[in-house]
Amino acid sequence: MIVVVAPPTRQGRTGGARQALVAIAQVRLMILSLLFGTGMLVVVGKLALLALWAEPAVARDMAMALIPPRGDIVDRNGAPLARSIDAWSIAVHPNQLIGDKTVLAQKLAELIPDKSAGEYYALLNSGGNFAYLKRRAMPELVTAVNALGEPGMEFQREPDRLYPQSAMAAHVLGFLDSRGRGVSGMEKVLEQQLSDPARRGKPVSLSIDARVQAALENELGRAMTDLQARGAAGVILDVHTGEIMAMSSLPSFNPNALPGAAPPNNVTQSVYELGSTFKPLAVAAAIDSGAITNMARRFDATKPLHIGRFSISDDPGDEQFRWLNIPETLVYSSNIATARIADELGAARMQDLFRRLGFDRRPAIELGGAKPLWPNYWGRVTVMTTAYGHGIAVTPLHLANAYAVMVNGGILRPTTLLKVDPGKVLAGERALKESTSARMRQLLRLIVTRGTGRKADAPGFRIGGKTGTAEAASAGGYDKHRNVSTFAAAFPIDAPRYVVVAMLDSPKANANTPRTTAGWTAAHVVGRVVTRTGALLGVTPDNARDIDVSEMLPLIWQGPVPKAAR
Amino acid sequence: MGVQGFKGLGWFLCGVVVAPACYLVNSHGAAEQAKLNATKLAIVQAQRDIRGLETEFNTRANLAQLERWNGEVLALAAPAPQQYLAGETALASLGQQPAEVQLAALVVPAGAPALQTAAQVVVPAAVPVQGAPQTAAPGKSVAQQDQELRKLMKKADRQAIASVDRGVLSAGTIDDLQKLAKREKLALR
Repeated sequence: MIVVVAPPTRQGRTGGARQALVAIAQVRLMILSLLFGTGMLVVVGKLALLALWAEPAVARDMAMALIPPRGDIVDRNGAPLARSIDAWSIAVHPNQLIGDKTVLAQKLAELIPDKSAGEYYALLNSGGNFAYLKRRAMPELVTAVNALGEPGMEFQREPDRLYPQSAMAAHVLGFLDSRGRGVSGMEKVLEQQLSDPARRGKPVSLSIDARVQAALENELGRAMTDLQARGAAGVILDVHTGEIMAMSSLPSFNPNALPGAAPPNNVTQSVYELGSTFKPLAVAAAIDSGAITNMARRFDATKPLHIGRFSISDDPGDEQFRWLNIPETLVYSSNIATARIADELGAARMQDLFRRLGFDRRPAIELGGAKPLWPNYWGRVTVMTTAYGHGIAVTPLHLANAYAVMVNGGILRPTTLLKVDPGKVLAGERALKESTSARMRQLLRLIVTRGTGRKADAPGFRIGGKTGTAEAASAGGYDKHRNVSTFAAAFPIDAPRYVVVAMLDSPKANANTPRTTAGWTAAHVVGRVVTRTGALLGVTPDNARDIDVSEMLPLIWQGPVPKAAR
Repeated sequence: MGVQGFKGLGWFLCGVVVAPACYLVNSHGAAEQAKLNATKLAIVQAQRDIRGLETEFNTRANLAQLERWNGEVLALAAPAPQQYLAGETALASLGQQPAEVQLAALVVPAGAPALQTAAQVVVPAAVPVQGAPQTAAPGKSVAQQDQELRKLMKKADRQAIASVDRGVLSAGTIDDLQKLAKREKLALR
């Protein structure tokens, strides 16, 4: 017997009901497939869009990865002075803390001794959402804080500005605020360029030479500590381009440590009566305007000069009590003789020169600077006192640029902190005659070889310059016990390339430095700086070369010849 | 009919073999591209690392730090003007002591044998070698040194002349040549 096992035939619906069901199913299927279809279309369309218009993400990212969030600042040789780095920062969310806050504050105070445990405790209990504990943290510190195991801590990488040379050139570079914008110095001046995405990839070259800057700061700092001076300033200027090779103002600050208020830049923001360093300027004015044609012409310096109630006398120790010619006036730094020269010159011609040297306006430099104190009234006495640097106050940068004009052939160029391409040096404007400049070079050299600037004579570098010791201005008059000692020099004087100005504010005498006049203090600094940096600046020391001063030498009276020699 | 069937097979082959093969090429290209990109990224990363390390080195060895090291350990000072040389002439005359100049004068003219012409090339090269032991023995008198030197010179000359005789054309070679010439003459007859 054969048993056939088969499913029973389905009792399907029949007729119209079944057809209706099929129709509904078909419509549903259609809708579903349409939906899928549109979905696919959307995906395909998006893909097509991406394929056609989206640029590969990798290439763009890679190009961006190498562009720092803020442009680098480098020195003239490419050594970095300011860079952006990825730094760690440690922050806390006080409202998300779960551990014991007293213990945590204690441990934080041990790890980050910036604040006391009490301060940390107050911070943790503030209940705020976010507070920085430490920015620019070292990786070790981050690890240590992380090991505390507090979930309310946050560690972030954030771009930060690093000044690898720390306090060096701090006044030139300036610093950033907490939002990463330049507050002072070149960071502020170059803000646009440094933050512009198109331009920030290329570092900005300053005119500063880091090695020279370091030497200048080191020597100034040493002198300032030795002599317990209140402050110091120094600048090295290229006389042919106006580039500032080094500029230092002490006391300085460390821009890495985000100071509250930075000390002022004494080179550009402080004005001083710079004393006898103005004498060569007055003499240059006299020679340039033709008031003096003969170097052998003598001026009476036998006794103090009285004009009304005012009296001009020579510095004790430097008096000569005789008639002095032009070289002698500068070599012995005679106030009386200079005043007589200025008297001959007159107010108009004196002012004219000062104006041509830019003493009536702020220094021409990117950083900006202080406005000089220009006398309101140019009486006879004013003309005389300005000739030896009293009654007119300018910044050390003004003085440096004036000396550059005096030695470079008489061309005034604006000073700059940005590197100047050799082909793009400004033409400048003529402030002195070429012949005056040549004459001044000889006179400046004589001051160093024969006069008050002997301590500045760096062997082989042919320095020429002038000392200046002015009584420091204090409330309503002069302080007899404080002085501002300045030395302004140019080297090598036979073919000048650089001007160096060093200034010490209120130096005190000590065992090695019996006097506080510039010849003992600032001149020494300049001598040392030039010895250290001259070769770096491209000047080869040479004992065999010097400027020809033979026509001037006979004019300097050597004093009575000793009997043995006669 | 048959063509129709092969057409279907053609499509089939196209779908199963050719398209995957094309895709394979494509994906291989993409893989290479991805590798290249990864390398590029690695380069960028390396450049960033270099920058970071450079910054760190610069910071750790900044000029203030170098100054400190110089003060504590190195004690280097700026070179004096005498340490700079004006030019090639100065460089050439650097380190030439007057004594050495005398030595050279002593060698060349003094009692040198007349047949020096052949050995001229050899002599200058030999001089520094002879000079060294001479300065090393300061106890000897000038006359003694002179004699020794002359002996050495003669020796050197003999060697040089001998080598000229022997080295260029030895007796054997000349014999060989003569033999060859004879043979050739005979062959010509």
